[in-house]
Amino acid sequence: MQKRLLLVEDEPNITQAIGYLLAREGWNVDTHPDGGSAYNAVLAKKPDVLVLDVMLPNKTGFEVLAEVRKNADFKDLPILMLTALGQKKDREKAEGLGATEYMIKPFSNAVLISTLEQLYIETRQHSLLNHPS
Amino acid sequence: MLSFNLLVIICILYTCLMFCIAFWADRRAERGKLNWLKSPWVYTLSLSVYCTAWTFYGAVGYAVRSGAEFVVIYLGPSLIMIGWWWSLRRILIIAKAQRATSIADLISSRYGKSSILAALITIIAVIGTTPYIALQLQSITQSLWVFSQVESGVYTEQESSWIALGIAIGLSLFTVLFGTRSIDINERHHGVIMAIALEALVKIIALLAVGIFVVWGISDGPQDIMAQIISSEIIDKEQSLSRWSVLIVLSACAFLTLPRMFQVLIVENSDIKHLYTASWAFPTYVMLMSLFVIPIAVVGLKYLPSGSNPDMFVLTIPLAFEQHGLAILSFLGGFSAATSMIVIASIALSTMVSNHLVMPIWLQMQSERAVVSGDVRKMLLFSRRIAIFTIIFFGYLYLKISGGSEALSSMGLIAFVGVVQFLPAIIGGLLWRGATRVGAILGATIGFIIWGYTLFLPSFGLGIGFDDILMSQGPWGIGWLRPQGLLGVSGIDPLVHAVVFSLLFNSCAFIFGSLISFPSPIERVQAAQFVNLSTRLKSSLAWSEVLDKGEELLAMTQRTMGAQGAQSLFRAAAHHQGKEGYIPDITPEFLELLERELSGYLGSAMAHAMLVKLIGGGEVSVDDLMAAANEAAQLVEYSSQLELKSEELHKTAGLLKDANQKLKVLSEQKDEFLAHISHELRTPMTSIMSFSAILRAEAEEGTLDESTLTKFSTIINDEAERMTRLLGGLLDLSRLQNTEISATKEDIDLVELLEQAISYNYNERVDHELTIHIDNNDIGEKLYSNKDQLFQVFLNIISNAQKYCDAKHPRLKISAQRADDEYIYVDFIDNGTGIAIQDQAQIFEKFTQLKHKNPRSGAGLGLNICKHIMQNLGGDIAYLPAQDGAAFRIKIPRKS
Amino acid sequence: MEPRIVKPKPIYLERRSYRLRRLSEGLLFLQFLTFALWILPFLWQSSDTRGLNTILWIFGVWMIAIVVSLVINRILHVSDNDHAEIGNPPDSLTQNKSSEQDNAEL
Repeated sequence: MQKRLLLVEDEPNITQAIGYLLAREGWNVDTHPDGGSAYNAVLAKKPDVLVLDVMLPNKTGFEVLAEVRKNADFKDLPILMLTALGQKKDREKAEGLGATEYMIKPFSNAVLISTLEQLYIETRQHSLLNHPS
Repeated sequence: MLSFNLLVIICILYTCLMFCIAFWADRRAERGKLNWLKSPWVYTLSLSVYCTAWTFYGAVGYAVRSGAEFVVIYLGPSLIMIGWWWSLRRILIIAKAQRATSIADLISSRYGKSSILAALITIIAVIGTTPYIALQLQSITQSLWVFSQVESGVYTEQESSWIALGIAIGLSLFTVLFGTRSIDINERHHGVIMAIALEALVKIIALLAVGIFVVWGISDGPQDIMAQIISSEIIDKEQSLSRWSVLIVLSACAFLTLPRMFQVLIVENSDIKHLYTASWAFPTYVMLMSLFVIPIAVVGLKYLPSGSNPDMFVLTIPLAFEQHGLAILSFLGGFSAATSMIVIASIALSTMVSNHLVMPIWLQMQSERAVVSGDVRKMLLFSRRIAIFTIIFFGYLYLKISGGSEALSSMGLIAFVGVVQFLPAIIGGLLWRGATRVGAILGATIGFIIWGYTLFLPSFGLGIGFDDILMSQGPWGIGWLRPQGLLGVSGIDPLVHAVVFSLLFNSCAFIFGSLISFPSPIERVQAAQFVNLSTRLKSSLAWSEVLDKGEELLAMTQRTMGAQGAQSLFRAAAHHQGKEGYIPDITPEFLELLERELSGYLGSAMAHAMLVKLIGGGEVSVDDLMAAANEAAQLVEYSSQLELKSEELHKTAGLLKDANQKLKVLSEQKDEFLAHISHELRTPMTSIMSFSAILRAEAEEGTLDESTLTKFSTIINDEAERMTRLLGGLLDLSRLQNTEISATKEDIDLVELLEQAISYNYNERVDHELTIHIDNNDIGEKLYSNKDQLFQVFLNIISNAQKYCDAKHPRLKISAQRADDEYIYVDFIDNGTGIAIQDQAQIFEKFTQLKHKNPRSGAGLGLNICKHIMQNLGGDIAYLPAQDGAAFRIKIPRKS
Repeated sequence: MEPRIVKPKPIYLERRSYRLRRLSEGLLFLQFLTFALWILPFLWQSSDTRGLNTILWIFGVWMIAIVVSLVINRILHVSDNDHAEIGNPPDSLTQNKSSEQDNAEL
């Protein structure tokens, strides 16, 4: 079973880097460059892990986050905020809105991969516990 | 042969020159470049307005008729200038302190700002001066006529009248243009004075040139001239001691009281120190003016055909000897003398007429509201202009009606006697505290009537003025009322008779009127101020002498607590004592009251000390008390200034609060800004780190293929470049923000500022070959704005062009144009690709830099800052679409 | 607080101002003397050359008066520029005031 990840990021170079990196680790990476339609993308792809940038066109990552969390189906979806906003208040805001992890750009490739792996594993365990089927 | 038309052309050119000089001097004065416009030499030369055409041409005629007597009218003014310290200086100091704008103003302010007195003096001055102006016009037409005679009389009487009218109109225009440009508090006219000074030079050079020609050209030097003088009959004319000495005194007095002399001596004086120079330089000037008069007269009589008009010798001698250049110079000298007199006299008279005749009447007719509004100023200027035209036109009319002739030539001295009627009021006002308004009015009126009766009206000749019977037998046959033999006096010179009697009756009426009348409080205070100056120069009065002089006390109290408060206090006290008026008896009760009141202003100790000194008497002089009161007034002023200051502080606190609020907003903006910056830096950094880590990992694993390497390293390189650009932008920004920004606005030379910004940019990046071209004439505009902030904006726009103009040969064109009265546009247009239409709207937003779309985009901050700055300055910046390249238009308000 | 009445000044300054005051009085004297001299020719015996002599006399007196006036005014001017007090303090106070007004107008 493939680990499916949705990356909402408008910087093509970053998308490319993360995509390349995760593909080597066996992830199936979908990318989406726009904030406005990000929620629809989440609905469509139903990823295992969602990675959200904050500074997005049309809608901020925070808004997308809130939108996603409103949907009960996604209340356990692991969401990693991957952003250049490094201030404490941004992190607090993200946590308040229900982000699972918060990571500041630039990131270390190894840390990113391990964080995503861990998120994936935790959710798998969690969902197995809750829905043993 | 000398063409008459040529002369007219020279005349017109000369007038044009005067216009130019006056214009130039006014311009300099407006720009504050007064340096040598304020020179004592200009002042001295301007005094030569005393030497009119009457003295320029007429002195020779005078010498032919009466011998050496012509010189007396120069001797009087010389005496005044030599002894200036004791007469002129005092008048000058008082006139400046009172801000007197004319002789009428000075006299009326001494007598309690009496408007009746001012109007009376204005009327006398106008009546005395109008014939004098006519005399000047006549001398010009006459001198022109002399020239036309050379050309076998091509010009008739009718034409001469037209010429006089033309001259009158031209002079009125000149005077209106330069004499009434604005209502200046000092009533100074730099342009006019400069032109007058130049005319003074022309006058003296012309007369000296003719004199030198006469002595060395026609005769054989001084020895020969001496011999000719001895053999000539004019030297033997009998002189009368009385006439001689009366005329010296008369001309001395008239020098001080003629309206035009008051104008140049007092009103136009910018520095009392100029008199140190004028004191000897002006006597030198008039001495040189009279030096060659007798030689010219003698030579004229000897060489010119008998019956030639001696008044025109200055002109006819050079013409007779075919010296046309000299004749023209001489003509210009006479022309200068005539025009300078008319211009100054009409300025002085128009000031008096509008201030003391027109304005009082006009103001009475107006409602209160109109007086408060700006109409007064406009009305004042308007009435002055009308007055100038009217006065000069009256001069012309007078010339036409009197038909020129003999009546005019004696007008000079007659006018002197007329204006000297002001003298008792002036001298009395300066020396005698008891002189009152009633006395001054009475004296001047009676003096004026006697002058008219004994001198002015008889001067019209028997036909126009008085008839023969009246002259010889007196009115109604009463012999001792004969115009030239009052009180049965006979056998003395009519002029001396008129001077003696008019001044005698004038002074008597003045003294009598002063003795019987009672001055108003303002008048008393003014009297104290005028006379004080002279008592100070002598010994101080002991206080004990002053005790019974309540007005000093009032004057002193006024200095301390202001006119209204003091007057009502004194009036109340006098009323309490059962007295009318403002001066109570100096009783202990009153002193106690005064001390109480004064201590409110001076502090009780000071007030007490003053009054203890006062009652103790003996040692303290009035002056000392005045000085003390002055100091106290300064203290009061100081404390009121403090009050003002605390008010200012309050305002400042408010401003600070505002500033603080702004700072808060700014600080929020700064946080936001830093977040943005951090984001902008982190984004490319993310790609770089990520890809470089990938590359390293791949390299370790040995799985790296060529194309991936190229692809990833290109990305790394691109992102690194993007960061560099961003950092460059940040550096620009910090440079912009580190330039010290002051809030003050100042006058800015647009070109200069642009050039500064350009050179600043060039210094920064020499490798960029941007050609910058400043275009258009309007760019010479002056602005009033904040220099530093504008500089930042210019700097930013220019450096943008340097960085982003992608043309092969980048060029930037800067042009300016005046949009309307309020704004000026400065356009910066380069020849690059410019900015795409869809992006134009957002370029001024913060951080909406055109990433990915324009490969050379920057930090996206500069334009945003520019926008802010321009909006703060009341202007704006906008992108100008549809140009050759990127184009920005900066809109700057021209005034604050 | 005592009102300031008379401020003692250094003696040399007093001497100097004394001298300057006498000089300015000299101008007054010069004025009257010149007037008297200009009237003098009327007291002369009449003779053939009286007319010419009168003229020469008047111009001669004139020139001398001018030169004397020049010298006195120079001295007064120089000391005025040195801010020496000529005449009484209140007087120079007035003068200062007027020159202050002048400055304000510029």
